[in-house]
Amino acid sequence: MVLSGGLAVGGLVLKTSSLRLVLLESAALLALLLVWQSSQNRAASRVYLAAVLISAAAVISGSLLLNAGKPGWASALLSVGFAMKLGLVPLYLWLPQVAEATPASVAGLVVSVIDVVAFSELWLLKASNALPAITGLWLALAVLSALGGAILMLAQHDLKRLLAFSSIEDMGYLVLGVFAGGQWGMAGALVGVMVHALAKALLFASLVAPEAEGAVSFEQRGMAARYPLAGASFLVGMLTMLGVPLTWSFSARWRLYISAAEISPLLLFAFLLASALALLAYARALVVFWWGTSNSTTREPPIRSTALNLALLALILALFVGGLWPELIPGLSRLLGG
Amino acid sequence: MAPSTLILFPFYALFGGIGLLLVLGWRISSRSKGILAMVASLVAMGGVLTTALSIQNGRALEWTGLSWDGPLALAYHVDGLSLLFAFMATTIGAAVLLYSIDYMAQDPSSTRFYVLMLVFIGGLVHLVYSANLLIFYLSWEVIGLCSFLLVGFWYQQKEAVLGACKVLVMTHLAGYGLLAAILLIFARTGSLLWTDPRLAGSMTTGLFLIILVAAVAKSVQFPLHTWIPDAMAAPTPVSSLLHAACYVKAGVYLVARLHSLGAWPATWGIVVIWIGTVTMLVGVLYAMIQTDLKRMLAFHTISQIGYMMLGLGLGTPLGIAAGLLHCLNHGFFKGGLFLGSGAVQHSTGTKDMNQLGGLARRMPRTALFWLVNAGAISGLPLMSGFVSKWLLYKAALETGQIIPALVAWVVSILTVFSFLKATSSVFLGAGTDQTSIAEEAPASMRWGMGLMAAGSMILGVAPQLAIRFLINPVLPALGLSPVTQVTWFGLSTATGSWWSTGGLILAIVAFGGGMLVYALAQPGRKIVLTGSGTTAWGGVFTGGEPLRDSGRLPASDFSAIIKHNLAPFYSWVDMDRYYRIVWHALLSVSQAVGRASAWMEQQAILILLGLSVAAILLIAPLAPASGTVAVGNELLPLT
Repeated sequence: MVLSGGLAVGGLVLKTSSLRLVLLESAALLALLLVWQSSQNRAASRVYLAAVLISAAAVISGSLLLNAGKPGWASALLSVGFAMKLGLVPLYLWLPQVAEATPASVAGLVVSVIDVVAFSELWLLKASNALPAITGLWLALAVLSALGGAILMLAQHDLKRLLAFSSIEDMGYLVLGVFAGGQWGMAGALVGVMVHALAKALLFASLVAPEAEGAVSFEQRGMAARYPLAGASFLVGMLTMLGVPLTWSFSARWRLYISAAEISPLLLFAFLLASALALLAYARALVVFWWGTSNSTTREPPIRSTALNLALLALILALFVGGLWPELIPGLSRLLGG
Repeated sequence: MAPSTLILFPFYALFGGIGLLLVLGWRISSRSKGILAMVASLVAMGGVLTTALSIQNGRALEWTGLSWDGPLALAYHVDGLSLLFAFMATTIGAAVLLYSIDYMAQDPSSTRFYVLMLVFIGGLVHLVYSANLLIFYLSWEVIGLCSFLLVGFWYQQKEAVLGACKVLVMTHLAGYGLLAAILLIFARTGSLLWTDPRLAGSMTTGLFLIILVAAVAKSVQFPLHTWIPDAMAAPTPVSSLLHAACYVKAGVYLVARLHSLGAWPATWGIVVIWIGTVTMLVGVLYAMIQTDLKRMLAFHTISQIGYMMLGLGLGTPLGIAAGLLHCLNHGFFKGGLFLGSGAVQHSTGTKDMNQLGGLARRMPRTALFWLVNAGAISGLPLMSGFVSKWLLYKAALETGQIIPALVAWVVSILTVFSFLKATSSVFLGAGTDQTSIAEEAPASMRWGMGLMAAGSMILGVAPQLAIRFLINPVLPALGLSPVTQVTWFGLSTATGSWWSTGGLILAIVAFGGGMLVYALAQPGRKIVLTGSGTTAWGGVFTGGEPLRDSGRLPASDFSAIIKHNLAPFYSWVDMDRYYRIVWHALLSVSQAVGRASAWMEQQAILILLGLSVAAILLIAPLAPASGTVAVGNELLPLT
């Protein structure tokens, strides 16, 4: 898990795009091995394998064709490859299965590191104008993913699947930022992806302890009574994903919304509708799974892990410090246009 | 003193208090935390009042601080309107926190409580001080978050969980309207400052309406009012400060602030007038059927804010002044009523009016403070509510809004009746098993209630203090002339016109009418009626039915009559019924989409492969030929 994450992050700091791609695909393959090993559902592992292979083949061949001066095929291959990596609608089918079948920690790695790094690579390509892309197509994918992800969140009773669809929904916003262009969109997308990684890590980490007692679904109630810090973590993660002020994501969200508003008020309303649906889904999860009277029948004491608690607190702190003063982050002020 | 110091001083006090609570919270007692929080709010109040001299005669304090998030700088504009709401937040906040010292003394989560209360007060002051629209929205959401977390304070109780969820969903969803308007304004004008003249030019009716949706939800106006009764699961100080005195006034502030953009088109005013008029009637009719003391007060809050919206919708200097005066008065008398209900519940363990009675003997001071505030909301002369209602009637009549004025008058009658009934159910008559154990409220709770009652009386006896120092400075901030002059007991000195006299007559008749209606409900003759054969007093509402042995008509007897006779109204106007339909429809759609998605996941590999191939074949011919190509470590343009 650590190696996979390290390869992914390390790939981002390289300047040469071909080397970056090699490291990123290596990280994805390692994550695949992890999913294969830890999955309770072989079918889900096979779907993830297929998704990794198809997306890797598409991205690598697209890059090669781009270098060979064939932008049309390159654009098509890169679009399909990245859309699958990011889990955009309709190429998302692998993501909820992986989230459901693997432990929360593994699912968190896939969502908060691998996916996010894939997005960052997309961002870098777009920022350097190396990606010939059909803007309208990407904006349509963004709207579909935001709205589709949010509607599907409402249909879930398993919390890990809910978080997977939340990732798909959030990716819609980030893709909007990249392809709407302009100072607001690109800055919002970059801050947004950093926050996405932290928030998703926090959300999945909050499920680790409850998951040890059984499936994390709406059949369990009042888990915050047994795991108050985990409950608070889920609440903070949820508010972050919704872009509520004083969480770091507000800094990204208002920029992304403005980039939508500059294109069309209808586009802005579409994304606000997605946010509204996501709010309903998260609120239901909070009320049903975390709050209220616990229905746990176990006589075992709640699982306590100092390392996990420290990780949760560190992530909460990061999201609030970033939210209270976004420009505290070194180098971010220039990016944010201050 | 520099503008920055005057503006920031309240925040230093409040956030200083928060910091101390977080650092010392694990070492000091709950009572000490309460005292610390109260002192922080008091110091903040002092800081707010120091700005008063600087904002007279239409002046404003302005300061732009550090860049906070890119182009978002912490920009402040403190004028008369800001001062009024900041004063309410910090003053009433201090009184409520004083009350909380004993109320929350035994609660193990008191640190969380006091931190959230101070964050709320700071958030509301920040809201009314902000000149930047996005920072305003940030503060709007922060106070919303505080409301959510405080309603869900006892999150292991089902009522608290559901109430908090409803608060979050209804107010946050409506807040997206405000956010959308702000972003569209920014996209059109490039500006985010209230004070920028370009903003006025960009405000269309569509934008006004979506902003109004946010204000309506926040200020519990019809049809977005249904969250507040469920929010009564919160601790009583929360109900008092947030859901009576301050949080629900954020929407009133927003609507008032829209007046600073310039004169409204007539349609805007009509919409706000009728939202207020319908709301005040719906609120009081629901209040009359409640048997839960706090829920009754919540519905009266809905109704009373309708008066404020009426005043703001009239748009005249007198109408706006009357609406804002009522806002200030309401903060004190409704906040005080909630504190009184909390004292009753704290002492007896219940807020069910059917189980209460005769508490005036066991809790005389609580009863006295309750009576003062009940008199204020009823519009009793010598109390604050009388002055603001009188001015509202006058303003409505002057602008030819006869029907809203009449509705407001009828609502006043029903309000009087409602409070007479509540007062007699809870404090008068024979005691019950529940009240036999009651004791007078502890000291800090009595002081908190007493300060609120004192505010209600002072603002009734000497309303010129509020008019001169708090209300009249608002009008120049909104581009209007301060014309309202009142003297002792609210007598108007500015005009001797018929409208003024007519307003006074309406106010007195409203109170008298309420007394008459209540008198008709009282036992009038002796009838041998009880089930056990003992003699009891009966009255017109018994319809010949046997009375209880005590001869009392508890709250449920009364509410049942009204609920029965107005059943179609309550059925049609129950907005939750429609919201549940929308929610179930949404769930049905999402479940259908979910089933389709689950089916696709079963065939995921085939579908992914098929879609990928199809997409590549479709996209390739359409893709642009532009871009760059990487050659080694360089990126060269494609040719």
